[in-house]
Amino acid sequence: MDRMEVVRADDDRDTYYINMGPQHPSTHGVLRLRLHLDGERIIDAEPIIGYGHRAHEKMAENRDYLQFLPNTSRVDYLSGMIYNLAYCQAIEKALEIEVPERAEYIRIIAGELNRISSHLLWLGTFLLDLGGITPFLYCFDDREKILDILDSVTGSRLTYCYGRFGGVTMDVDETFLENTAAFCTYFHKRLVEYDKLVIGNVIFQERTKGVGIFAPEIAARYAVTGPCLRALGQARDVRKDEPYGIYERFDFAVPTCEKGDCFDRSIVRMEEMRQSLAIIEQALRDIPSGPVMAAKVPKRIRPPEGEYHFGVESARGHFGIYIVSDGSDIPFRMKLRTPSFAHISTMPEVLVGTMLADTVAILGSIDIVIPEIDR
Amino acid sequence: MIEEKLNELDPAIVSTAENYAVKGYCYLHKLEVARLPEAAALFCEDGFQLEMMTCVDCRESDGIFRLVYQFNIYDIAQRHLLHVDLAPDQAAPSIAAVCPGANWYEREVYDMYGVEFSGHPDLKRILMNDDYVGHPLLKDFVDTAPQVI
Amino acid sequence: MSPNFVEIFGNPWLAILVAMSAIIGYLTLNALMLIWLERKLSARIQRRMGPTEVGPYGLLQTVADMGKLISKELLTPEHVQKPLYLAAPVLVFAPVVALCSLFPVSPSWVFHDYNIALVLLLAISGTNVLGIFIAGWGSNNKYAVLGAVRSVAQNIAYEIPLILAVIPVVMTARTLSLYGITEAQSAFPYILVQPLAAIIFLIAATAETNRAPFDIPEAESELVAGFHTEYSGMRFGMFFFAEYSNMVIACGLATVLFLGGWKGPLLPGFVWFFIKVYALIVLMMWFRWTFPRLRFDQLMKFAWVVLVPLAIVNLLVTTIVLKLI
Repeated sequence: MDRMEVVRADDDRDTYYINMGPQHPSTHGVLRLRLHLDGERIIDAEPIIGYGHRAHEKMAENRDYLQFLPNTSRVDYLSGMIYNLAYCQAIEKALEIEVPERAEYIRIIAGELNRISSHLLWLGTFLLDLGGITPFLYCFDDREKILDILDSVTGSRLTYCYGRFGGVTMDVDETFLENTAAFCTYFHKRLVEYDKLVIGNVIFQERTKGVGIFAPEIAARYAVTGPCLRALGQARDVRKDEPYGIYERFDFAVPTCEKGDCFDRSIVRMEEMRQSLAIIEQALRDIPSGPVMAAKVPKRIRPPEGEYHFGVESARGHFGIYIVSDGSDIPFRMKLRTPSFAHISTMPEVLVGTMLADTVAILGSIDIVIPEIDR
Repeated sequence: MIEEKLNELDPAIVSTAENYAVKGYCYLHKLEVARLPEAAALFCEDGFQLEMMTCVDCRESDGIFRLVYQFNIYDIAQRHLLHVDLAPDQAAPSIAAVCPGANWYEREVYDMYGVEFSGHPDLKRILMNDDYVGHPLLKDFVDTAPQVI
Repeated sequence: MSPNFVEIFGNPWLAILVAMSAIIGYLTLNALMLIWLERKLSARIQRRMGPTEVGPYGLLQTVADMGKLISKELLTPEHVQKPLYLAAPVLVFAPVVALCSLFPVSPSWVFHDYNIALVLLLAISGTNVLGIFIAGWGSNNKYAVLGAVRSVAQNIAYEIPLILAVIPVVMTARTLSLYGITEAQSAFPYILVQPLAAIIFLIAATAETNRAPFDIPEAESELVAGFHTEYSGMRFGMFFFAEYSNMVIACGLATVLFLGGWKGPLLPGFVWFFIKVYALIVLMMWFRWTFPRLRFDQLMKFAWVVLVPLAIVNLLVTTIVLKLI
């Protein structure tokens, strides 16, 4: 459909269809948006997904629990550490394995560093879509520091397989802790710079204020979670509502805004980065010494027969793992509930009535990652 | 509480409390297919959100498809699981009218398992391509697509 | 008193040929240098290096790129409307050559001094939008048409504040000849007496040349490549050539009108002229790499609701002040 097809609608308006994607600089991966346009206004939007379907859930039914571990971080490669650790924690909860203190603290530090790196990438690509090309490189420069820190202990830069059932793979040394502390000091100043360069920029505010407002009914009907929900004023965070790991011991705020437009979502994510820094600093202060792997981990992972659910707060929202176990060491069914799937299903309702240029801003601000939609 | 309302709706609904610390959810309800739209409406009116919906292929052990609906209310973090058992060729009623978030989840179940949802506004494949033959997540699925190297 | 190029060469056709060759030669060198400058400047702003391999400091990078572009196969997609598609790059580039001949580079160097040079310049520069629109329409592609339509609307909208910002300068200088306007700035450059007009002119000129933050017609992230989506190879190169040449013309006009043209102490006239022009070009490039893009309706609103009233107010104030002096 790339010729000018003029469709005569009922009221004799000249409307046309346009495809954004699957190859498009702004759709953040292979997403196809079929837009029905009247001039510059969108009458109808249909996201067409599935271009990146890799059958993770089918793979889960054919591998045992330990063999599936590397898959988890590929589901959402930007929050790979959080997803990987979530899967480990899900099995630990089902088998009631107790994780040593030091491993819990390391998990917190690694998870929050991952959250910051995911938000930095979001910031860079969001600005890139809006036309400001420079912040993209600044964000990636900062992200390199995080990736180097995590690389030094896990061996991977993007798709981590750091967690194991009962703890983490390797212990962190003093260099890791010093580097993380140095990064925290450095990043506080960078956040101030980003506020001035990006959030304070008049053109950025013009492009994002009042654009893409999620009505609270839409958020409720489609189970929107994460920064998109917090921008509406609802302080929902899985780390506070259903604490996992040792998150109860940490003192951090859940940032919210009021209107729920693109600007509010940006503010929420910037503030979340600050809160993540606070969590990391507290963890660095309190991390005890000790083992990083539980003493007694069963050799064969066999959760008792039944169903289990485990949810974490990833960088995008509520990530849920639903496991149906039949008592064997291969999962009978594993369903990965990913936040971007819910968020992108709201697009037909949110995009109607907006303009073409706003589509790019809205898609960028809800921060979707296509691999986790398609799994 | 929602369990009482469900009980009022149909005493045949079996609700069991679960160990939240291990299982991750508070209640498990087993429903008849016919009761599904009303039960879903009950949850949605009460402020619950459909967090996830999926299907489990239990044809080998029990001869049924089990639809699993997961509702959660964030204020008090109470997660409820609904089990709806379907015979292999039976169609389930769609709750997309009551709960728009279910629209895509039902399309995914149709795509992966072949379960039809009557009353769904636009039941077509979502993850696989439109002319794909087969339903990948079935336990006896054999991939017959030509291998393109 | 300005020299007459035609007299020097005797035959007017020979004069035109020499002038055109000189201008096209200069514009080619200019494009080569500006592309290198843009890449280096953007790289340094973004904490990168920019081209470093080809030639010292990557200076020959653009030469290599031009060589690559010229050697590419000139593909014409099947579905385009051939006459329009092929004519568009030429139409975009042709006015540029004519416009360059109007600038007084130094007191003793101008191709031909018209006494209505300013009007001629503004008139011819208004035709570049025709080339852009024909490029988009002839490409027979939805994205290209969207880009072309946006470009036409944007160019028309920003012509008004552009001209309104120029009129106070003409009133102060009491002549429409570019040579004369430069001469009239012997005491002080007009930017000191017309700061608002200078700012409005700079903004409108950035919009006229389709540079960021007004580069919606070529918005990469929304419309893939806007009006030149279907162009490749040297035809695409022509659009870029024309864009950089338009930048020189816009900044050249700003220099003549507001910064005093060739006036300046110590150094010869044409050196000052080029220093000022390239300083303004660096400023325009700096804009591009700092600001995000305005949305299209905000861009139009900015022109009509902010720039035009400001320019009119400026014009009124100038009129009153000139009457009183």
